[in-house]
Amino acid sequence: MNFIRRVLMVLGIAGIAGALLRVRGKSVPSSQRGGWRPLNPSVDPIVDQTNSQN
Amino acid sequence: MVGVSGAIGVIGTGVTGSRVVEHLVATSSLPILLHDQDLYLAQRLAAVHQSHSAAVTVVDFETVAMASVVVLACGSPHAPLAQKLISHGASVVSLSDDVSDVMNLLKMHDAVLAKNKTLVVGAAASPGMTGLLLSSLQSNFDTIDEAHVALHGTGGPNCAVQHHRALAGQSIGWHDGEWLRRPGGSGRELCWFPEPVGAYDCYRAEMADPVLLKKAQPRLQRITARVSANRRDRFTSRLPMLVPPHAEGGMGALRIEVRGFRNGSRIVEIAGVAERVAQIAGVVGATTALFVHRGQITTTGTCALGQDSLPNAEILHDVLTGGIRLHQFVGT
Repeated sequence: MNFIRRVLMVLGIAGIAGALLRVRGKSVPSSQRGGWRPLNPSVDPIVDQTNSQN
Repeated sequence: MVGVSGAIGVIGTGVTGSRVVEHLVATSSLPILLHDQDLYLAQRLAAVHQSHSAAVTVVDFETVAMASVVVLACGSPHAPLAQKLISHGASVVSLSDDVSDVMNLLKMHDAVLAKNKTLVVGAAASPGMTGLLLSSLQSNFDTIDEAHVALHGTGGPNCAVQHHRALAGQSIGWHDGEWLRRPGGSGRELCWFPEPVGAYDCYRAEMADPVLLKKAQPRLQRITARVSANRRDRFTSRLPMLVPPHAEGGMGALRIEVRGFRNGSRIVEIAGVAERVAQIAGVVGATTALFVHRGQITTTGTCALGQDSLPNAEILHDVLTGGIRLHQFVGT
């Protein structure tokens, strides 16, 4: 009985540790630096002006 | 009664379906036939558009199947519905993003071809818009070999359920000539989306994009798809949804990173869109349906947005004039 209890406890602790490790951790950034610029076709004069400044 | 054979049908009048109807009403004067299991929802949507002098009518399935094109904007599975519609002689635009449903739709190629009809699979945001962006970016390269998709946000409740399921499922990725299956929720990557969304951690998930991008551009060597998720999403992904999904998700975004060669140099191009996901899906679905209706998509059988036989540049142009703002990432 004690043996089963210990096994269950070990499995429980391992499960919690595994779940914590899964949700924590470091991200790999997909890009380092930069920004977004509008890329719409020339149907909107405001977007045209923005594009010409880039 | 409106002229049914010249009409566009829409099955599903939820968040995405209503956006499809809004775009159709705004950009065409075609009669629209609505069908939904929830009759009240369909009648409410039809009533909203009656004031715009548009012919929006709620009909039964047999009548909607007589339309020239039917947009499937309901929850998955779409394959059994598409099969019935094709047998009635309608072309179909499916907005499904469920992998198994997409696979079943693609398997219908011979049956659709025999009927000389068109079945556009995955004409939504992701997949759908991603295929159009891939095709657009492709013109900046001599050859392309990699495409990596990331999605943030959800459309309506069905989309939110699909997002939850995708994180618990097996992600499919194309890697050097073979399909790799990895557990959903793994492979964290910090992806930058166009403003106002910004950066989100994204993870592998069971998404249909790799299957459809591979169909669209068979020369691609590596294709992955990720979806944004927070710790609660990942922790509870294998459990049933603990809280009911929102009526509509907030601001969403998608991006596609394409890698390849130009003048012998390795280059990377990234394009993205920040908008409510249902809005992107609705505009892409409606625009594709209009192209099929006008005969501007002549490909018969099953097809995916982004494949060379479709007028992708024209479809993307119409999508962007429909109010979707496209952005390009400039940086490293």
